[in-house]
Amino acid sequence: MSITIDIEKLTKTFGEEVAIEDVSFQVKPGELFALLGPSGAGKSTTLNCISGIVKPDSGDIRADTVSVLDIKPQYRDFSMVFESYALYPHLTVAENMGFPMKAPLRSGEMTPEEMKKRIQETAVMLEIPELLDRFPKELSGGQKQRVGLGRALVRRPKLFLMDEPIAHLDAKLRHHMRGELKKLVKDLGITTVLATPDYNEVVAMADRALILNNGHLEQIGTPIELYNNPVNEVVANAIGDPPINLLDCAIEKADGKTNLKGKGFTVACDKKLESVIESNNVTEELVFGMRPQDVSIEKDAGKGLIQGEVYVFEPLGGEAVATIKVDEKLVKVVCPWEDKLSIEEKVGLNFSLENVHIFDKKSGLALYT
Amino acid sequence: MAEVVLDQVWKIYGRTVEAVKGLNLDIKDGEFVAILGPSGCGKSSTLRMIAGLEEITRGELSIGGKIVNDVEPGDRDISMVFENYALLPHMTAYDNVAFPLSLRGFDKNEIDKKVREISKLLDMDYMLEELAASLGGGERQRVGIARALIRQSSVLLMDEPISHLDAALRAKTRTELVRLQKVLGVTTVYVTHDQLEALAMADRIAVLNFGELQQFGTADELYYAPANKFVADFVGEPPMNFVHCTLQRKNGDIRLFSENLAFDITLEGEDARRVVPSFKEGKVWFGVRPKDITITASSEENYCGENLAKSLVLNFEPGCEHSIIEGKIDDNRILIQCEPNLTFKDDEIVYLDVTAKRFHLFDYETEKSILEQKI
Repeated sequence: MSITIDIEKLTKTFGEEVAIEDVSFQVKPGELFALLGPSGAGKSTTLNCISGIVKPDSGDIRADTVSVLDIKPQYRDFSMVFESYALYPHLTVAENMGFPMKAPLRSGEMTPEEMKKRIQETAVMLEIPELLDRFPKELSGGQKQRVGLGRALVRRPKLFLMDEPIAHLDAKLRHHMRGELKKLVKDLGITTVLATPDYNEVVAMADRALILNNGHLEQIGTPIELYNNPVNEVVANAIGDPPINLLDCAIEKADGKTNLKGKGFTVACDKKLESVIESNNVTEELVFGMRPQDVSIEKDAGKGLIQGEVYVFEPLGGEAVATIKVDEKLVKVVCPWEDKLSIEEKVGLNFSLENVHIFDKKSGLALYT
Repeated sequence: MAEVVLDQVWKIYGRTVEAVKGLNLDIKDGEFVAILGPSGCGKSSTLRMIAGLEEITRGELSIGGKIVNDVEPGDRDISMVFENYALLPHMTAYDNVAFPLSLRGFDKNEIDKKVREISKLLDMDYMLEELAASLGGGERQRVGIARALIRQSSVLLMDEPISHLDAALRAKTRTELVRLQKVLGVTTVYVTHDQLEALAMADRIAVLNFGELQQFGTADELYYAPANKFVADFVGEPPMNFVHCTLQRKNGDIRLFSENLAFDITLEGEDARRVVPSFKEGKVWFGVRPKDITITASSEENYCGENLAKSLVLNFEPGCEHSIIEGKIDDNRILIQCEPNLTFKDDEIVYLDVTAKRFHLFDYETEKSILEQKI
C-alpha cells in the first residue's frame, strides 16, 4: 500500500532565479528519503513541487507511475509539515491537529471519538498532551513546531513531506524526536521525503539521501555511502561534523617520488595514491581532503606529516576540536580532551593515507576516496 | 583588566519572584566564564546586574576591587554584546563600531585608527561602508562585537551572542571568539543555554538552575565530576543516562539493583570505596554517559559475568562516526553509543558493561553526587 514517488527532470525557476534544475530521483515504497543541502539549495522548492503548492516549469512527478501534476494539492493525499509551523491562530492545538480530517478527501473517515483518540496519542508521542487546549500564541517555537508535526501525523496520507520538521526543537528533544519520528514513519510504512540542512538528522533517520546544491543534484546514496565515497567536494563537505578539511595542493615529482605539495605542507604519496595519480594522468591542481576524525595530533611537531600551530582548542565533552593553523589555512582535528593544547603551541598532524580524499580542483570531482 | 566578584547576589522581581538566589562567583582577571542554564534559570538577570541594567536586590558586586552596586552602567568599565545585535540600522558598520567613541568625543583620527585596528582583527574591513541593515546575521554580530571591543573596557559581557546564527556560521564564530578572547585577554562573562558552547569556550562555567548555582568549575569538572544530577543531565550530548536503583552495602562491597533486576551490579574494592561513607543505603540514581557503556553481548548465551545490566533495544540510529541505540533498562530510557559498523534490531536484548569506564551515583532525594570522582 506504500507508494513509489518518481521525480523526473524537475525544473523550477522564479524569474531569473533557478531554484532547481533537472532533478530526478525515485523514492521507494515506505522509504525515508532525505534532501540534504544548505539554505537556498532548492530543498523546499522540491517539496513544494511534490505537494502541489508550486507548479514546476518542466519535468514530471509520479505517484505509483501516475503523474500528479494535474491533481490539485488537496486531492494528492500528501501531508506536509512546514518549518514555519503554519498554525491557525484562532484554533486550539487540538483543533489545529484535527483540521486536516475536515478536508473533502477525509471527512467521515473517522468518528469524533476515534479522532479524539488519534489526537491524544499523537500529542503524547510529541510530549504535548497538556497543551491541547491552548492557542498557538500561548506556545513556544518548539511547541508550535510539534503541533505542526502533529497535524501532519494525525492523518494517514500516502506520502509525508517534511520541511525541517524538528529544526526549532532544543537539542535534547531533537534527539528524542529523531528516533520517534523515524519509528512512527516506519511503523506506518508511509513513504516520506524529508528536507533538512542537518547531516546528523540524515544519518540518524534516512534510508537514503540526495545532496542538493544550488538547485543541482550532486549525489544520491545511503548516508554511509555519501560519507565514505563522496563523488565530489560538495558532497564531502555536506556530510560530516566538523566538515572535512580541504587543502589546495599540487603534484610534485622529485627523486622518482610523488608528493602532494600545498602551502605549508608536503605529503609523500604511497603506492596506491601514486597509481591513482598515474592512472588518472593528473597534472592539474588538486584538493587534499581529510576528515577531522581521521587526523591525530602529535605533540612533538617533528613527528607529524604536517606541521602547524594551535589556533584554538575547544573541549566539547569527552572529546575536543582543535583548530590548527597550517600556513594560512585552518585545519580542524577531533582529538581526545586530554590533549589540552594551548594557543600558539607547535604541533604535528598525523593521518593515514588510507583515509584521505583527493579531488580535482577545477571540477571538484573525487579522484580518490 | 579586572576581576568580577559576586557576593551573595540576589535578584528579586516584585516581591516574590526570586530570579537569582544568593549567587557567589569570583571571576578572575582575564578569565572567560560562561553562565549556563535553561531558560528562566537567572543567567540573563545575572549578566544584566553585572552590566548595571538591572538593580541588585541584595548582595555585592565588585569589578576590579571596587563595589559597583550604585555605579551607573556607563561608568562600570564594561561593554556588552547583545543577542539581538542592537545595531543602529541606518548607520554604516563603520559608524556603528565608532559610535561608543564618538559619543565620548574622541578625536576623529584616533577613532579611525581604532576602527581599522579592530576591523582587521575581526576580518570585517570589507563591510565597513555597508549599512548595518544590509548586513547578514553573522556580519551584524561581528559589528556588535567590534563595537563592544573598541572601548577596550576591562570586562566584556555577552548574552547569547551567536545563538541566532546557523550551525556552520555558529561553529566558525565560536572558534573566532575563543581565539579573540585569548589574544585580547579581556575578562569575559558569556551567557548561553548551549552546553556545547560553554564547554568549548569557557575557562570556567557556572551552571544555574532556578536562580541557584549548581556548580562552578572547569569543563572537565562539570563533565567528569558533575556535582549533582542536574549538571550531569544538562552537560554532555547525548545526555547522561540515569537508572533508578537501590544501593545496599555488604562487607565493603556495594550492590546496586533496579526494581525488576534488569540492572544488578556490584561495586568492589576501589570503586566501592569511592561512594561517600555518609550515604549509608537507599535509593539512588546510577548515571553513565552513552559513550561510557560497552556492549558485552547481544544474547543470553554469550553473556557471562556476575554484573547484569540488560537493555531492550527500542530504536537503532546508525551513524558514520558512531551509532546510537535507544534502549530501556526496566523503565529507564537510555542511550548507548557504539561503533559505526555494528547493527542492532528493535526488541533485541543487549547486555552492557556500565562500570568499565566512568560512572556516577546520585542520592535519589537530594540528587547530589555521592561518588568521589577523579578528573
